[in-house]
Amino acid sequence: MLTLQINPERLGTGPSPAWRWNGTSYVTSDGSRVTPFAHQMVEQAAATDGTRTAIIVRERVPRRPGATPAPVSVTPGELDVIIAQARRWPVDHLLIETAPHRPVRITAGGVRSTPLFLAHSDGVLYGSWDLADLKRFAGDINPKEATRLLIYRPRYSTDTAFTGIRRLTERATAVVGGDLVIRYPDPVLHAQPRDLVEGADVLAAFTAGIDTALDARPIDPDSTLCHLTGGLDSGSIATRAARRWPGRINTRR
Amino acid sequence: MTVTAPEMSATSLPEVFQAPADPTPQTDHLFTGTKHHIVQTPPVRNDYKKTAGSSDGAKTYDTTAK
Repeated sequence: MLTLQINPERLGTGPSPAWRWNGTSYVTSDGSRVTPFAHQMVEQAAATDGTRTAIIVRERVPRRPGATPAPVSVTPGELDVIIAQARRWPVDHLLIETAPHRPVRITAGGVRSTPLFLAHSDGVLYGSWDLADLKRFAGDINPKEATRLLIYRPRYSTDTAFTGIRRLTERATAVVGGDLVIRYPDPVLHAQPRDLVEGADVLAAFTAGIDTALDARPIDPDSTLCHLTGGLDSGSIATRAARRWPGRINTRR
Repeated sequence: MTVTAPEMSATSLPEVFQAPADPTPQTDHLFTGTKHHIVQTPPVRNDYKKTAGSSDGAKTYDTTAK
């Protein structure tokens, strides 16, 4: 979804301390940069109260015009509301909060469809959706993660196969300044099984759930490619999509 | 009067900064009784692959599952 390089200790020390949009990236004059992945399903927006800045990179939702990337000036109270709203975005998103002489905070959304790998070196935070971009920060093989991979029991965690490179998992928060600390969220709550009411239309509810997922993003069947694993779950969704858009969903193996 | 954050409505912001309504459909009408939320135990949380017969086209079986 993005690449970034932020030096929290230098934020606000340049001749023009504010973040600005240069057409492809948010940049500061002191060398920090946030570059969203250029894609029609991704948009970015930013707001600042003159001290704090919130940069939001997210998946688009239907029936909304594309966001204007240039930072918008708001009051401190408005920025608080903008940050709260950014955390409620229903599809994938990253929220980056900065302020001069303060650690940078990056919060991931709960519906992660993109990875963000992070590394920290000499006080500078580096991040990318592509692990290979951070290869110069790879240290040793992480023995715990390597063991998990070798015995075919991978775990979705902040660990990667390499020490020195971390993963920002869903709803997790990275705080960077002096060190990189990633905080996990509270565990997801699960409802215990219950009996169905007489005549419960489970199939309709299942279909409605798939439709909700399909409608969460501005999918154009003529120009959207979905990569599916081919199991029962993704196969059911593909079947439903084919029924919703007859003749417009082609499958290739 | 100063408007503090909790009093400020998101609808006063530009639309680009307003989160859409949560689209998750309600399902409580399908069930009887009271919904009890739990935190899954590690064996349940990580029991995600079969040893055989998986519908996963990639055949990513868990070779260590009991």
